[in-house]
Amino acid sequence: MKDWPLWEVFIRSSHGLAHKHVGSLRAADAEMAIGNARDVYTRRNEGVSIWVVRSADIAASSPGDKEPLFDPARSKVYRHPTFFQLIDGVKHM
Amino acid sequence: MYAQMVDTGVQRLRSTEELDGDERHFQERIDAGVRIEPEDWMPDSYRKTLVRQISQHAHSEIVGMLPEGNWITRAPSLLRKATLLAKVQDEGGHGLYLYAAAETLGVSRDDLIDALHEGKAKYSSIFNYPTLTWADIGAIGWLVDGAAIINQIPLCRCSYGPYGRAMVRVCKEESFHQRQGYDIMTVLAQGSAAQRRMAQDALNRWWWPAVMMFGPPDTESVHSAQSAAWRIKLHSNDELRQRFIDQTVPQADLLDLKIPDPDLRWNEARQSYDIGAIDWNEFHAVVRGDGPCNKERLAARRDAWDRGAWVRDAAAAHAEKTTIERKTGETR
Amino acid sequence: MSLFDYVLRLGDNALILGQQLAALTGHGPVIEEDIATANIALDLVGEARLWLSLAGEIEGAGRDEDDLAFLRDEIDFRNLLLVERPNGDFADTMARQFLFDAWHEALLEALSASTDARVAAVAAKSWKEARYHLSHSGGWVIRLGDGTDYSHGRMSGRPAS
Ligand SMILES: [Fe+2]
Ligand SMILES: [Fe+2]
Repeated sequence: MKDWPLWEVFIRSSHGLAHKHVGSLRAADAEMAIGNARDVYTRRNEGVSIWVVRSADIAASSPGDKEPLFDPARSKVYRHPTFFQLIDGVKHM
Repeated sequence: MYAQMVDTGVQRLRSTEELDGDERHFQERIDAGVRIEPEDWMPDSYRKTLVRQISQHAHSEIVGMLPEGNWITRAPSLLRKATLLAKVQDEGGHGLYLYAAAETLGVSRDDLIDALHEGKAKYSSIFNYPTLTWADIGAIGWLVDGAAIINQIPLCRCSYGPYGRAMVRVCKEESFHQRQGYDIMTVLAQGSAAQRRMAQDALNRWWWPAVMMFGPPDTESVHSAQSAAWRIKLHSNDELRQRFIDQTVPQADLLDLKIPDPDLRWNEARQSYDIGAIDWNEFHAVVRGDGPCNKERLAARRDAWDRGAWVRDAAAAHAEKTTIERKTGETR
Repeated sequence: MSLFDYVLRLGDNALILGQQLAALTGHGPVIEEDIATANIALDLVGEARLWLSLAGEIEGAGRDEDDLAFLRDEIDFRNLLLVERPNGDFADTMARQFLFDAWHEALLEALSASTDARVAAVAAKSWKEARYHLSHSGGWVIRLGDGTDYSHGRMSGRPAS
């Protein structure tokens, strides 16, 4: 017998945040994957919306590319508000 | 614990200085507290050990559903029935999270399950004891889940990302398990003479197996040093066992239940309890397959899997047909 | 039929089917399905508790959900015979479940509009659960009916081999 495919499960909690990866599971088809995700990952009111994606369909960055992908962002300190020194007395900024 | 005596395949622990290349870089990352992720390079022995440890842990959760599942239909009230059902269901979830974590290491769940069914993979010794009375359900929640929590909380910080994250989920859900068990014990211990007797009898039978769950004494734990260096074992067996004893004895005292150990004493100097000798022969016999319920548990798991084969096949066949339909736009 | 008898019947249906499904915990064809089955059993036991508590309240003789669930003789149970059918194999379980769910879902929807506010409240809560149960068992009836020759045979009543 062939294994059922693996699915990655993403749940949006009631707090309105974006869907967040919560884990994976096996299911024969998408409908079953959503049902299983509901039963496995929302037993304690964890979510209001479920996405399932076949694990095989996810494209991921490779660890070897970590430096070219992520290091350049480190030098752009001016993107962060703490970079800017405010003069005394400025409020609501 | 849920993973006992995990073989690392390593005879002698080498220091970081003795390692070179990838292996040295890997150990330095672990020493620096960096989490290892599935795509990262890792020594083969680390991968294999983790597969063994995580799958043993997963098998334990799944086999562990059986002794308690045995009492769902016979729980003494509807609320107890629902609570126990939810608890046993959670254990199934734990098994699932853990199989998924193991799968990130390049093995398939079906292969892991086959290894269990063929007797090649172990699961915790504790689940090879029978649940004879309702009080056993109390004792399991209180002692077995209690011991599991002690073991699992440190694992949330282990070096392998997916395992640590699975443990975080598990620990979050685990908190009610121990309490429901202690609650059952409390009601029985404060009940009629017959109920008290039942509670004491359960404690008598489950105490030593629970103490043994943490695995052999540190002096005999051959693989611990390597697992500790890899940060997939964060405390020694004896350390965790002591923590369990120190936490549990006062809880038994509160219920006026007696720990079945004549040598149990508070050691003022150590600020810990000393306990009597553990019967390691019993432990090794159970691990070997000669516990009271080893055969029954494996047979139940195999039976469920075999009887489910045509169902899994049918669902896969249906999925395949519908995928083809969607691709070709044809309907049957 | 008195309101007490009627509510008791609703409770007994949920109780017996919940009990049957609960017995399958840990013995399903795959862990995910074990968890799903346990969820449905939990819903049904929860529903039974609500109906039986209400029945006890209507009766007014001081019996609670557990008195009614545990302290009656079997001849006093009022459930449909369908829910007493043995679990059998997965096809039997799902056929029983699908037929029950299809009926249960429609019944609860209608009862949500009951003139008795207590009945309407329990029905409305349980209806949400029953809708999910029906989609779950319905999905399996289709999968098994369509899947393999063997599953098709089992779903259409051919004996197990
Ligand atoms: Fe667990
Ligand atoms: Fe647990």
